Amino acid sequence: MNCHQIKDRLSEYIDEELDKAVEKQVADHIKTCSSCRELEEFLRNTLIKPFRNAETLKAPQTMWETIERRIAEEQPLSLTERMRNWFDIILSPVPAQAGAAIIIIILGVSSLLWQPRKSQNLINSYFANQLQFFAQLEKTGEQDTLPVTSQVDTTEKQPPPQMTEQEETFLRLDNVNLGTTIEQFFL
Amino acid sequence: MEEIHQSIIHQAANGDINSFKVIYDVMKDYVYTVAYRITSSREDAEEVTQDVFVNIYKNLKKFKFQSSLKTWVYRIATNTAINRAKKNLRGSGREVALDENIPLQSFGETLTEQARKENNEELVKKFLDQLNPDQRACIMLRDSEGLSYEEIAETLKININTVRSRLKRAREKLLQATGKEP
Repeated sequence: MNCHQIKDRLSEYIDEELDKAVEKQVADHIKTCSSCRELEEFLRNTLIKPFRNAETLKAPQTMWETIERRIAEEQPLSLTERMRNWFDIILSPVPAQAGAAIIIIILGVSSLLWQPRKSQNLINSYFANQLQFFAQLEKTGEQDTLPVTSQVDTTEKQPPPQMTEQEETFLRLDNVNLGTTIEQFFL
Repeated sequence: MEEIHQSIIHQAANGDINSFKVIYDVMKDYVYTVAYRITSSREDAEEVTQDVFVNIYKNLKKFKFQSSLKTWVYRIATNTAINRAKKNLRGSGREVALDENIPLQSFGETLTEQARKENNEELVKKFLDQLNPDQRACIMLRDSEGLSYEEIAETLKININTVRSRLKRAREKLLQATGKEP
């Protein structure tokens, strides 16, 4: 091994972590090479020795009190203690401001829910119109005439549509039932 | 570090705070020293030591006696300290600064014992300041605690070759910092 290879292994050599065969090669080289021997001594005496001589420091005296307090704080509560805490929360008086805020929120939400919706109004008016139309149609049928407007020439009267009694009943029932059902559903 | 009897560990694991105090008294200085060497700050070392003991107390029931309590505490202490040091580095947005000239002339024969200790402590701090948190932990466990590469790998839960390379690179950095190697 050359000096470069030896220097590369000096750290492990000093720590006695090399294979026995490699360790012997390094040891033999150091005996004869002053440059590598000097580096090995520098590593041992100047860089490693201070750590070996370093003393264990003293932990601050007050530390145990802090640790003991933290342990007590972080200790999980027993079931009885947890239940007692829950009861304390439930039974504790709610501050007036918090109570007022809750009531205002409830009232606000309720008023929003009670407002009629625009789409619901449209549906209601549509079915009201439909009911009115069929009622008028029924009335006209009874009078054997169709509803007329000013634009219609009354001289050319068309014969009124003839409905059987069954058809008439069906139409009446159907309109009434449909209107009632829809009204019940939406109103 | 004196050995702690298993009955003390069992009692502490069952929540006996007095038994836990026995464990604390035996290990507190070691944990604080490791934390200080790795974080390089007394304040951080104190917080890390507190975190370590609170964690040990909470997790003592999980300790299976497969390794010694000392090894288990080593692991928690070094990893907590490494995490804190890395967080500090990220927060400061800086890498470890390389001091090109660490003075070594203060090691003389004429120094008093107290002065020699203080100088040694100062030098250790300067050396560690050159290294990143992972390298500091490896150097501490190897050179101060005398752990083998295998024990360091086990403690830090890393590959043994990673231990090898971290120690080698750490010493190369220190050689550069002392002007011994380019």
